[in-house]
Amino acid sequence: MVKFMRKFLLVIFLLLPLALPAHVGNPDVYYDGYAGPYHLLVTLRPPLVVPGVAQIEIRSAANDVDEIKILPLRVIGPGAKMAPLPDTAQHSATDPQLYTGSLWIMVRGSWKVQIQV
Amino acid sequence: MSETSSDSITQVRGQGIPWLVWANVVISVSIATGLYWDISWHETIGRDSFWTPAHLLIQFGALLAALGSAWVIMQTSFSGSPAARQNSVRVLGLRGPLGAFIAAWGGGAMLTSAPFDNWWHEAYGLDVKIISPPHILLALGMAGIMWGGAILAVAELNRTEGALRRKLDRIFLFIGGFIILQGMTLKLEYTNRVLLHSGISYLWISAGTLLFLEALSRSSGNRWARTIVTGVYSIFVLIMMWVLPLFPAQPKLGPVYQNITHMVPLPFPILLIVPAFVLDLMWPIFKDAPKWQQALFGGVAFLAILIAVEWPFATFLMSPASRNAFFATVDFPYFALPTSPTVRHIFVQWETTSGAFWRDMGLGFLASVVSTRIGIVFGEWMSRVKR
Repeated sequence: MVKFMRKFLLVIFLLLPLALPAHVGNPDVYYDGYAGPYHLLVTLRPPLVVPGVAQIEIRSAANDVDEIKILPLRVIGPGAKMAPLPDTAQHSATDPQLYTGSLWIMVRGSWKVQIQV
Repeated sequence: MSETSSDSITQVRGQGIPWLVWANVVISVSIATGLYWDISWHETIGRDSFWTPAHLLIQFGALLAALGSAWVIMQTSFSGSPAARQNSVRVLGLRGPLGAFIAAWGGGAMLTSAPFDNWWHEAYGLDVKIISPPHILLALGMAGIMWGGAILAVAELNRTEGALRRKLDRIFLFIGGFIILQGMTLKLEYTNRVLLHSGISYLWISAGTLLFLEALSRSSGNRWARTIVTGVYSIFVLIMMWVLPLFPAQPKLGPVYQNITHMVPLPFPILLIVPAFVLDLMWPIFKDAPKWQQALFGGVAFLAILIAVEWPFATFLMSPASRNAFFATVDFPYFALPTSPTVRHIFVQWETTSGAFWRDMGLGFLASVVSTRIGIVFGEWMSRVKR
């Protein structure tokens, strides 16, 4: 019985997929949430390669937003403690509630985006 | 205007110095300042575009070199006096001073590198390394402009005597200082203080530096040419090192690992001036020796003296005593990790075995001797250039 269990566990173990880190063709990231009282719909298109530039589109539900600032930050590690200067997102000339911008992603790893309205 | 100086094609009235020679002084300062500013920009702010002031300063130098040289070439080709045409060379049916042709090519190469670099970024993404084909074209263009300026000045120098010659000599050596500076700037990655106790640093410093130094000093004939040229390099680096941090700045690119409040200065200059001064001092002793002996003595002495002064100075630069604005060892690029050797003020042993260390040091001495020998040949050629 013990022998059988060992063989069974070995088969199960061999059938288990190995963890292989891979990140090919990350899909776009969507976020629907609030920055204070402002309801925002965010679409983020990561760069195809790193270093590269991610594109961000922010749609404000309200039309009384003056300015939106965007800032990419590392999620963990020493790079998460200090921030570069944020960029001002460009206000669309045709759509008063749409803001766009570019985010420079220079190293691989986990990133977050801070949006300040 | 003196009879000798009237051969020149375009001169500042009453002074006898061609305006293109003066323009090359402006160009050299402009390009070098822009280059240093740009490196500091990348270490401080991180993100750039073609329109940063540093890039504009570099491209202003390129534009001035290209247009100024092209103007002199056109003027000599189509309305030059017989004397001006006599003091010119013929290239693709056009006539002009040799230096103007070289500088015009350099300016053209630098200007071409800008759209080439843009295209490169669009095709392959952001830079991950400094060495890329458009950057190599830019560096070659810069070298072309500076050597063009030096050859233009030395051709005038070789045709004149007296006070005008002394004045041209000072200008020539000043431009020469920026040639040394450009060479040393390209080697910055290997002359960081963390590597100054490794053989690789001295190998990189040796390769080429003595070629430029010997070529410049031999064609100048000035008793203190080596000291002046390395002095220009040292003073320029020190000025930039002390002035840049006066300007407030913050990173615009992450991840940020250092608290940056002002422009990050580049490192303290390598003490090239010490061996250069000693070689100048000893010049009367070895100037009549056969050329290979001169190269052997000059190359070995230069590097040995440099190591003797730079090695303990590097130890000092790692010590708490140097951590002030004067020696600039307290400012780090925004991307320097807190664990990096520079931030921790510790040396990196590039060579992992003593065998590898002595191999690199030996290659350094070999590079010094060979560079000096080529520099002697190049300098002797330059001292004969009159067109």
